[in-house]
Amino acid sequence: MSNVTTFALSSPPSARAVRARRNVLVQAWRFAVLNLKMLVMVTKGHH
Amino acid sequence: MARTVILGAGIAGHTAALHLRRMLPKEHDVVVVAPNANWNWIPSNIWVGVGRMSQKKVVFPLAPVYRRKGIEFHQALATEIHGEGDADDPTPYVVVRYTDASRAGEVGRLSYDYLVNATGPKLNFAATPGLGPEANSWSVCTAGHAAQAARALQDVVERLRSGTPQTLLIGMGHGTCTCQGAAFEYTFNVEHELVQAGVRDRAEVIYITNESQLGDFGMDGMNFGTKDGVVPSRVFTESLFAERGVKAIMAAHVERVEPGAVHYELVDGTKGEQRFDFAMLLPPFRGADLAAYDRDGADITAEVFAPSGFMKVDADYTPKPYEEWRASDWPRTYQSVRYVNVWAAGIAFAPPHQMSRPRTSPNGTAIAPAPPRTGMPSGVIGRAVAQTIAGRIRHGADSTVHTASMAEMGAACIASAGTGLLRGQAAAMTVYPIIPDPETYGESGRDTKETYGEIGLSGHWMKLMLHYLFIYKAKARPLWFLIPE
Repeated sequence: MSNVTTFALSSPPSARAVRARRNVLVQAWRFAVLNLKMLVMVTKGHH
Repeated sequence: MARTVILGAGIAGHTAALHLRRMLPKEHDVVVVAPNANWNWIPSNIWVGVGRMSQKKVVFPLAPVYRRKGIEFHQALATEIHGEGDADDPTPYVVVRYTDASRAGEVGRLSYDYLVNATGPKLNFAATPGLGPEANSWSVCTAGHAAQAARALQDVVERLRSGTPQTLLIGMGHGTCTCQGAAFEYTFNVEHELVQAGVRDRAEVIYITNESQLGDFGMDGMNFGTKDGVVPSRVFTESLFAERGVKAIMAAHVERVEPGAVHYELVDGTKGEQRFDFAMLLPPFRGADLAAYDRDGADITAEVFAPSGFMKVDADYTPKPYEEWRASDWPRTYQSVRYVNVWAAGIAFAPPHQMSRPRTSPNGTAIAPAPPRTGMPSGVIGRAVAQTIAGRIRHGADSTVHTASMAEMGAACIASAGTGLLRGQAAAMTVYPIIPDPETYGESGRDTKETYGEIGLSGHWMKLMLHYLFIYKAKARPLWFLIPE
């Protein structure tokens, strides 16, 4: 019996979601959001 | 005048040195002891390891930076701590062995008033027979290792182009490894390169890990808050493995690596063998080989350091079962258990226990990730220790003690899944707090509003931005201190 697991997509991302991952405009917005999230995270970690 | 010696110039040590120098008047000495001449932005070693970035872009020489900032630099390996001095002189000191070409092998003695142990990990390839670039597998732990791995990967691509199927095995080289995120990144960067080279269909990519399930990352997994509800990091990670056709061997301890094959044991006691044409397997970490002595010369290493070689600090090291672990077990000040003027920052401190549930095979083999404390936590801890020392020097023993508990700190992890300004992808994850705290945040142990993950091109941009920002900061360029850890 093989110990190597092959994963099946239980809930595959929609075609729209996959396109959004590569769309420059969407990703520019996500970049700004991510930066904000990280900044909040960093601020909370500094005493 | 006070003299602070910092052992190590990685993220924790270098951060502590730069902040301390910035916070203290020039009459106080800041001394750094590090065996390597260069500083390395380790997160970008992943890109060196697939041949997408040159080795020289992730390293720079430390000596010019320290000369410019007025920090005394000794390229040497610290070997002994004498925290009470010796019979002739009570001044504490460390013994070092020089590693630079001009003084190689020379042994020296550096006295200190305050000491920061930021020696980071020793890459313990010896823990697994046959592991490492001097034996049968590659590594991306140093820039040099990554460059070697990239050349080997290129050979694999050439063989694939010639029509020979190849198996690439990437992951953990021992049952107690940490840094699963790095192996995860390398796996998906390699997979991305195979796609770019047009040879993916002839390659099998297998991830081997000591995690009991994907997405554990040595942190007992996470629950990501999304607008559609809570998504466990297992589902998030498995989804990426499925999308990219990467297979996995989980809950595995690699027993030995032979040319072209690893032999492993699973947590259920099953033994297995996996053949490979290319293997990048990370080593487990242990503490630097530092010994400690009291004033009479008696060896007190076991009192100052844990058996793992990491320094014991203000944590609760009482052995207890997983169910009784508390966030409050984790250290806050990182002050040594033995000395009030010694701290351990970054990977150098001994964690009180793992974060992931400990598991042992029926044969007694421990198979569970060690807790990660690299990157952001290392920098934050280095800064907090520097602030405490600067306060002591400027305002006396009653000054504020700065804390940086990983139970009250968040972390961001950008796991690259392929490079390229328009084709790149990365999984951007935040977690708060790093140490699970079920008493405060319920069963998941974390704040699901601030524990979050998403995959996309923006994550790649973020990782690229962090590469340039942190190298700028480490070079102590103008206003470097405004860039947070």
